[in-house]
Amino acid sequence: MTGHRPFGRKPSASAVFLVLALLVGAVTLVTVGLRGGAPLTPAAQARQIAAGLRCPVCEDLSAADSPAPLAGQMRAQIRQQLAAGRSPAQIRARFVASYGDSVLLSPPARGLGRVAHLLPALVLLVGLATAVVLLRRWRTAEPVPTVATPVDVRPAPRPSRRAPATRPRRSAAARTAIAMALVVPLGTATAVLLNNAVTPRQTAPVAKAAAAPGANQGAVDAPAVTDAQLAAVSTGVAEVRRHPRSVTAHLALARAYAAVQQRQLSTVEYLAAARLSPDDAEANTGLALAAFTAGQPREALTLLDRVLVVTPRYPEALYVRGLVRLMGLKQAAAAKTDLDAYLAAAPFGSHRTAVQTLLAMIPAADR
Amino acid sequence: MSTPDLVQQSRRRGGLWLFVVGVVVAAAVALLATWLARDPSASRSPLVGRPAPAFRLPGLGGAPVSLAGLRGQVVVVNFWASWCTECHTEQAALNSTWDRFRDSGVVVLGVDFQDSSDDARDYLARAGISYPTVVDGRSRTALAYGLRGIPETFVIDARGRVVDRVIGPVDEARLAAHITPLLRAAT
Repeated sequence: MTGHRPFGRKPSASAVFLVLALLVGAVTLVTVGLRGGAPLTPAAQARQIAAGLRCPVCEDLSAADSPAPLAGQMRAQIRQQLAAGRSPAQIRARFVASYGDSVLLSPPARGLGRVAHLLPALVLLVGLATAVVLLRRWRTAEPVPTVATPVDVRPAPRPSRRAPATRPRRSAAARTAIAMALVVPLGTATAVLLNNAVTPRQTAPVAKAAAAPGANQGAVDAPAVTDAQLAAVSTGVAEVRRHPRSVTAHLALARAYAAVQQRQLSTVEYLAAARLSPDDAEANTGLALAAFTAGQPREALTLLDRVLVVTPRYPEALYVRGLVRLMGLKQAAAAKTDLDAYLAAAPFGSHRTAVQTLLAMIPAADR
Repeated sequence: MSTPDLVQQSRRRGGLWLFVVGVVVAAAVALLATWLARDPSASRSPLVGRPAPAFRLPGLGGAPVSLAGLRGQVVVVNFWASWCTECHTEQAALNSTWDRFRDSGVVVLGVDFQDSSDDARDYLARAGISYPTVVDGRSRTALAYGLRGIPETFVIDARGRVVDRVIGPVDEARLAAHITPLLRAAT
């Protein structure tokens, strides 16, 4: 007869692991609880916030750890905002507003990210449930020495872990499947984490030092102006042939012809665009300019009035109408209104210098 | 119930239980792995569809420019630097977009990012840039726009809302495809 033991047998390795796991959990909880009580200094708080934010130009480093200048600016902003009285949550929210959730190194506690936050609790529950099931199974297994018979006077063999009499054994295939179900995803996650940790991908700002001065300058300096304009004409002609009913194609060709001083050809293309789309502002303004340069300011004005009724702030039409009124129709006051409107509508427009010259030409009495 | 039946039933229940546990853990780990493995630069800017962050920045050799002062214009904000080789690649597209639309209510605005003023001015002259350019000295505007690298370009409509963000070099066709309907809508 063997001595009394809990569950009637020597504690199995599973039970030992369970006790160890509970001990580790308890120690962790106590440690976290003690650490959580200490107040953080502003510098430590800033570092803690930065450590939870991804450095946007190096992707796999936190803003606290990255040497990139932009990460340094993030740390400076965090310090400034803390000093201004903003809470860590507000500071994080500002970065999320600009970068989205991907700036956070840990998933947000909403949407899909909630799963990651619930995972520890889920794992704990599953572990507890597993422990309960195992304990119940051991208890039911305890008094059933099924291999002993009444005539057998020898003590019943102690149930072996390797060959329990009543404990069901799974087939090798089932055990392999269960092991794979647990090991494969865990292995994948570990590999992803390790890969992210050791191979940060760097983007342009971090590669600043590697950029040779003057490298790839050809794209900037290469196309001579005349070649580019001629190329635009060739492309425009090809596009119009390919899409003869495309307003965009006719307008592009009209601009290309105008750029190489082919005014008549340009006018033909504007006319084609205006026929396809009678209210098109650019086509009608182009035709108005052609009419004005051909000595027909009234026809030009009619076209421009029509354009500006539909699109009152269209800068090109305001400029051309101002020009027509001032130079062609001698209507200085009305021209001034148009030219002033152009300056307001196109703060960086190409005609600003010309408009200021035209305005200076208007006699004070006519203003 | 006989012992073999009990054994079989217990085996079935245990197997089912472990299968459920395996599936739950696998699903949770797969979700976590998906989150960790995603490419942040591929995400859509949260600014698209929202008001563009305001700024007022000193001009690079010109007057200061504020975004509020450009209300009513379609604004193409391009973050660049003289040391950025990809910025050189897109320069022709930006220049021709500016030439094409500058009198149609469009402003291309260069924002110089983490650069030396001398290098930047030198680049402006060599690249034939005639659109206004400002300096983001402390990268505040870059952070407000969620910059992930340069070049990066934002298209802002006449009401001041971000319509598109392009990470990497822009091409003229994409810019024109955004700008043209915005000009029609603005009128």
